[in-house]
Amino acid sequence: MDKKKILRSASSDDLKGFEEFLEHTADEISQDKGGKNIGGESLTFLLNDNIRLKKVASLVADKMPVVKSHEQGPRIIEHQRNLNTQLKNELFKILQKPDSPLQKTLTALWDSFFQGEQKS
Amino acid sequence: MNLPIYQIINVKNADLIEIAKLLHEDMNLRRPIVFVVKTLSLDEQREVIGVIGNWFDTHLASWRYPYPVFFVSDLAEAVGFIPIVAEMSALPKFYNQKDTKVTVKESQVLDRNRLLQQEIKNADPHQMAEVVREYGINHKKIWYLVQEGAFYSELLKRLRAKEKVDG
Repeated sequence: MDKKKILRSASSDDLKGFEEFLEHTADEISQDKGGKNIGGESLTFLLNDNIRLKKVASLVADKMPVVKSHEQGPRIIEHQRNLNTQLKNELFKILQKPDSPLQKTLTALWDSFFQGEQKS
Repeated sequence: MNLPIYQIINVKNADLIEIAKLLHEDMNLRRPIVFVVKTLSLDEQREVIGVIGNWFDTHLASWRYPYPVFFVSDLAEAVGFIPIVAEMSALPKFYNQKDTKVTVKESQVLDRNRLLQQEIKNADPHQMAEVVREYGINHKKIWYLVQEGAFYSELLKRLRAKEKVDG
């Protein structure tokens, strides 16, 4: 109840003797508002928990049963393994050529070892 | 109706009958649970952690959902699969709330949360946690294989570029 509204709507004679009571009620209302703020903290926490629970419920009740019955992981692993094997084969084809960078580096290493022996 | 804040259970002895009295399937349905085993000797702490972990396994109950279970223990090394912290202050702060009187609006949210908690419980979260674990392992494998493939592709790209320059 708003004190100002009551004061405006009623004449001063009607309110005689009630001023102190109205003052007290207005104070109580303002204190209650302060208390509600503390409750607000719990409300925020509960709403955040509600979001968390919704996500968990969606995970365990909706998404995971689908994943369980239509797991794609092993097929993706197989596909990626085949792709990697293809890439490795292509790499070896290039690297086994006599003029490939690998062969050149190995030749240089080999030659450098024997050059040292020839000098001595 | 209570807020879903930590329920602290002080485990005072390692007696199996006493531990069994503390455990029931709906224990983490409404709020997270913290077992404080610090008053026990290190061997007893290890034993209690093992027993409670096994209990969740044998009863096909989930220690993760709807609310998690923690241990507060002096054991630094990992024992079992349930998370262990050294101090109460190391627990997730999300559930560290004041236990205030619930307002009408809050009790409405709590009612909605109760339905969700029950929905999670009914979805067999223990089995689903296993599915999540397998899904995670598979996708970790995929990640490593994709990394390997990206390395080969990069190598091939560089070698072909060099061949073009030389050729």
